[in-house]
Amino acid sequence: MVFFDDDRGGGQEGDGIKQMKEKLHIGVPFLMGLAILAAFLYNYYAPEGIPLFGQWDTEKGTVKAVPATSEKEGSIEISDSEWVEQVIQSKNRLIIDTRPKAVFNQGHLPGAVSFPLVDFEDNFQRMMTQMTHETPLLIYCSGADCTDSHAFADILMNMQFTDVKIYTKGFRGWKKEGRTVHVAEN
Amino acid sequence: MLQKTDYTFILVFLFKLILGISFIWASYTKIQDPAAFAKIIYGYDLFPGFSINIIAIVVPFIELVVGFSLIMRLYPKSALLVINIMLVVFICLIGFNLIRGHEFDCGCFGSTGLSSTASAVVSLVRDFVMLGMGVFLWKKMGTART
Repeated sequence: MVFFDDDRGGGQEGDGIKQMKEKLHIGVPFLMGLAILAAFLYNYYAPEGIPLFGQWDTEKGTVKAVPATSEKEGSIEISDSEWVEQVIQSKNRLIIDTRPKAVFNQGHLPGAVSFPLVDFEDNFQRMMTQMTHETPLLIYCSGADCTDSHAFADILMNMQFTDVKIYTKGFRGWKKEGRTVHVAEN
Repeated sequence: MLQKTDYTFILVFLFKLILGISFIWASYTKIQDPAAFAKIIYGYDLFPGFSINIIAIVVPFIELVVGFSLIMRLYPKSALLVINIMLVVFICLIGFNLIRGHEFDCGCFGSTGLSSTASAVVSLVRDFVMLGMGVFLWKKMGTART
């Protein structure tokens, strides 16, 4: 069995074409089979391997390749927009928008304050003038495919903040539902 | 004095190298972080949820294997056929999303300096150039001295 194609050709053109077709019928399945086998073997043994099926349903929370397995992670995620409406009306939580400031200014949830994740260290002192470790917080970013809110929440919970929730639908989901959006005044 | 066939030989060699290395390099970053690649696939908004992780696991290794095969002459025409098909698929996916105005925004635009649209256009141009190389190779591979 010949593994290596002789792409130098030679002989009659008809023979070369016939030879090429035969090798494609062998070569393509061989290469694809090799790749698929290597892929699943590597994924199974590698630390960064992912499950065969991820969590890609935005109704169930933030989408990700590795489904949430911890009860803690599931308990801080909120996808109920009506609940968020009540929070806005009652003002019983500090709502934090983790998107870049320029994006925040174009539109944000009513009552939200801007604390971009990318500027976390620069804004931390300012942030602590508006809350304590016991302040109930609701964090959001752009949508179910954004994990900035989770990263922000992780930082806060590691700093012993006790009441942190994440609105998983984010600004895009909120706006898509036709809910009230505030725009920063120039 | 180099003959026309010598230029063809040099171009075939160069294009094989460029295509092969490009696919190998593209696969490396995806293999290192399949979860991030799965997120990108999700962002195209074209694939059913149950297929996303499987695509993220398999596609990088197809890129790796065909990249190596093209350079190492292990079924190079078969590898080239797969490469060209993948490039056509990538072009169609990116082009379709550009046409329908679909942008994948993780809320972090500006961190790379390019909007998602500009990034998609750059990828589209790059893939067209690579497909041009692939078509050239397909026509030339199998002739004398190539």
